[in-house]
Amino acid sequence: MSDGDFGRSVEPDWQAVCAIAAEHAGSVDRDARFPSEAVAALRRHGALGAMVPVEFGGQGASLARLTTMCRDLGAACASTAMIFAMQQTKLACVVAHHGDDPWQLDFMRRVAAEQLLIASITSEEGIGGRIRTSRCAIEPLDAGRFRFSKDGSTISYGADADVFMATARRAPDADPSDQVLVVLPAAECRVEPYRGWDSLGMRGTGSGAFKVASEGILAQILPVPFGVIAAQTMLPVAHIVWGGVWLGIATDVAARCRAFIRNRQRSKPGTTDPGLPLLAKMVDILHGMDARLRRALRLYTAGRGESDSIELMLLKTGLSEAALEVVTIGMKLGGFAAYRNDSPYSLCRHLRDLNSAPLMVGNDDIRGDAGRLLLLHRPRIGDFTEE
Amino acid sequence: MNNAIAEVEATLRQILQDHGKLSVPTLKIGTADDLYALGLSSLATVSLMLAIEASFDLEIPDEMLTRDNFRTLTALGALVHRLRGGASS
Repeated sequence: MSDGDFGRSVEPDWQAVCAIAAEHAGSVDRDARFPSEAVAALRRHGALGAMVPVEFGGQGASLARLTTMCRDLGAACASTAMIFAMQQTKLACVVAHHGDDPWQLDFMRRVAAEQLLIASITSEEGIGGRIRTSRCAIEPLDAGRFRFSKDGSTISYGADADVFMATARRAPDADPSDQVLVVLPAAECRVEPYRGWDSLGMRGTGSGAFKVASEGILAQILPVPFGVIAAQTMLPVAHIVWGGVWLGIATDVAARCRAFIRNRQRSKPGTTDPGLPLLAKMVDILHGMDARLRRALRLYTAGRGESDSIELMLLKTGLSEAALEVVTIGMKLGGFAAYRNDSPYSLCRHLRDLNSAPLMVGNDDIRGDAGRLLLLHRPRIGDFTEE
Repeated sequence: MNNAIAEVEATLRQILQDHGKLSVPTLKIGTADDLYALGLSSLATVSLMLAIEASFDLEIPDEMLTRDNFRTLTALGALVHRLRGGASS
């Protein structure tokens, strides 16, 4: 078997982190608990600061490297992988839009040095997941200070975060879409949970509802409008790293199915297993996901065009459904061996985890927006070139 | 400024008010101000395009659907003028 077969990277330190995540994935899922062992391993590795540039004490990881890390972790424990992906998405916003204020620069250093876990408060009660709309606002106080309070309807790992990054309207009289992104150290926040997280899958992400209130100084607000941060960084990065996570989960599905067929064939080597075409179909879909992610990484690195941003929106809808298709085929291939929780070929957790993929920012909402943008922009289908 | 141009600008301001979702009142926008810098989003640009086509009864061809043609009130005015067969470009 060669490197990267079924999508495993070979860096030994990172494989050790993934092994710890895999070891505890079952109990994290069963007990719907925070993956504390895996997150401790991420911290020891320094991975929570992966996106922080080297000169600020981080690992300076490229988005491509991060996507590989997300894929590896996704194959081990989907909840841990999604926590890691969300952490890096928040971090990417700071790295790209920190401006030159010492507070933000120091924050990046602290994330790397202290391995701070950053949770996102973009959703809001009464608004849901439409991240480009806020109800809460930054309320100015005297002496360059502000007050903030938000009912976050879905704050993943909100109970375990060291820092929150929240969207809010720029000011009490600002439009719902005139937003900023503010960094709020959890130690300076009042955090009240008001709904837990007992879900079908992704049970370790602790994506409950919390009321978060804080005061701070204006330097905690990123200097770039959130609309710009979302379009240039948050959405494309989120979609790419989520895609990495889903690809990872789907590769583990294919690996389990492959092991299942090999085991079954051993007892009747001369026969043709009915699962073989299904295995090939799954891997075909994996190749398509892999190709789309590579293309998205190229687009993100190269361009800022509107056609590119539409493609990066549709990356999320396409990959989430492709991954779900892989596990659906896997269930058919594995039969009761896949359906049982206590089988080595079980796909139950994968099936449940992947059902979150089309929901986290609803695919229909994304396609609706993308379709509307396509009234203005032509899809870009370029010429084929020899590379 | 002649009347026709003033009329187009007034209509464009109203369209911007109704569909632009900008962070400043439309009346305060200068004709050369960058609308994207004032918060014009991609989705709002689509609404703007459709409203301009409806109000002026025209269809903007694909090659004119550029970011620069929607960047300022002046650019939008010139776009409308061109499509109505005006001399300015």
